[in-house]
Amino acid sequence: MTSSNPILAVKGLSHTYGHGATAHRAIAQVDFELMTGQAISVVGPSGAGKTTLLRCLAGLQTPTGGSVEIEGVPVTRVPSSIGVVFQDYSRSLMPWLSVKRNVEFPLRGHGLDKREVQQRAMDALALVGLTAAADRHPRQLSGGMQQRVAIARAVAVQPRILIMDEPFASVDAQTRAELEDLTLSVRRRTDTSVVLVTHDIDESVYLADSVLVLSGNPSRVVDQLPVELGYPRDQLTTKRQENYLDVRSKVYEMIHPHRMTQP
Amino acid sequence: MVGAVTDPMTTQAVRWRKWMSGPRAWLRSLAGVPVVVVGLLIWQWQTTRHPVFFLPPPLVIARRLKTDWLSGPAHSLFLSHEGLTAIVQTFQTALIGWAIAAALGIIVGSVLGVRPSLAAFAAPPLLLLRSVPPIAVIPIAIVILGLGDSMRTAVVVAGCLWPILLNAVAAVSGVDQVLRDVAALNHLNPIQTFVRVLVPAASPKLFAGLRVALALAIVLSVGAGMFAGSGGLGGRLLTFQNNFDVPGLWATITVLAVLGAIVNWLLLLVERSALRWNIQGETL
Repeated sequence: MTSSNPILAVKGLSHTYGHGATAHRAIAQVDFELMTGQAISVVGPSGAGKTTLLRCLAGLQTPTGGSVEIEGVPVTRVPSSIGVVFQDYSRSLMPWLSVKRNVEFPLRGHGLDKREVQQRAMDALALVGLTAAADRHPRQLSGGMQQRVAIARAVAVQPRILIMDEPFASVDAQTRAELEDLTLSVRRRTDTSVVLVTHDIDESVYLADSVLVLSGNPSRVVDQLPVELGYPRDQLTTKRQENYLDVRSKVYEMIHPHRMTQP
Repeated sequence: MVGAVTDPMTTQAVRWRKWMSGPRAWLRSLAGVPVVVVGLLIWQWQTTRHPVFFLPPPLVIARRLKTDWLSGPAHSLFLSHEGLTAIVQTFQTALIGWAIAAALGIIVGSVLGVRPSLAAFAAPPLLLLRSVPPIAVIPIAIVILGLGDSMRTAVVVAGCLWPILLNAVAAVSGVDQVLRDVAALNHLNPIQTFVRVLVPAASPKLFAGLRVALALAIVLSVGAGMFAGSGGLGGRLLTFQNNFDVPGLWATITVLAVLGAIVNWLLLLVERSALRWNIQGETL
């Protein structure tokens, strides 16, 4: 899953909320590139401006400095080549729509004919293994299943970049592992590039080709570590590999610089 | 298990709904009937023993109900011609005025709800206008529009607009930012966002405003008819009052109560089917 041209380039991005004395600088400076087909995870202490960064990538917010380019084109509004998975499925899914209608939601109103819309929605549901739940409502499903619906909705538009904002923070550990593997399989089958914002260090290494470590407020890039693990990956063997443990402890030390000295 | 119910109020509501929808639910829904029957019997018995001028016995009222209102043919639901005309006039005014207020209130309220800066400008005049008792609008409406249908409809609109509008502002501004982000990410234009995201997400609170306004619409339609001294149920009440026809008054009040309940029940049916997804306790 490597290629030589970046699909996403973030250049000198900074963001400040407000003006004058009450101004709050969330991002000092962030630069990174994401190669086509690759996955990058963004980790950092809480309040490190990760959500601000993500909103700037998705075009939901205009950064006060620097730029975001997708395939060489500066992002000035919401690009059509992205899909976003939010942290809280209970807030991002439409409770009044069935699972199928939720996945159809982004496809409707863009000139696709009805059969095409339904076909693409069912394909996306098949990708996350939820074909059987198509006619149920989100609240009738478990948390993990609801987040799968959110993933299906994000990939239904066949995005070039999938942006995930702490996507598995609201589910239990067992479900989290399942959803991580699901994300790997979705990537393998759709060839989508991924930006994953997380505060789970294991996850940041397991799912990505490189880990971008941010400092606390206002955030800067501490380091960008390559993850040389290859594919396919699985929870047992991948997490036992020397490379995995090595990157994992490096990231850990960068985020918790004082922990190692404690008794 | 998601959405575990912990709120005591909700728990009570869930318990009530389970009780009402369990086996032999139809029998339970009749639980209040004996209370009404016993009340009517006591009323009949006492007022026959000690006649009171302003409170005739239920059977006298029932007889007037029959002669005044229910003496018509089957094809008009047994309603008398005069009765039907009055009912149609009052409820047509109420429903048209309510519908206009609903459309206006929801659209303007939604715009204010998504634009906090606009809402800041609009808040002082809105609060002032909301504080005007709706009845107080009637005299000025008569001066401007005369005694006809347009005056009565205008009064209903002027009264119903505020609860609907203010509820819409609160409902729409309370729609989760994440849902608005989802709309923005999918390139929905403002009208699509309104129709496909804001209105459905806000609908539980919107319905609350609509229900309050519907009761108010009937009050104002009757009230405006009374002020105008003609037309509809309000006009009939005024005529009966002027003739000291107490049983006639009570029969008219009964008609109002029954029709009000029917209209409210119809709205509740619409609400329940539109908000099926929002019913508490209907989880895994």
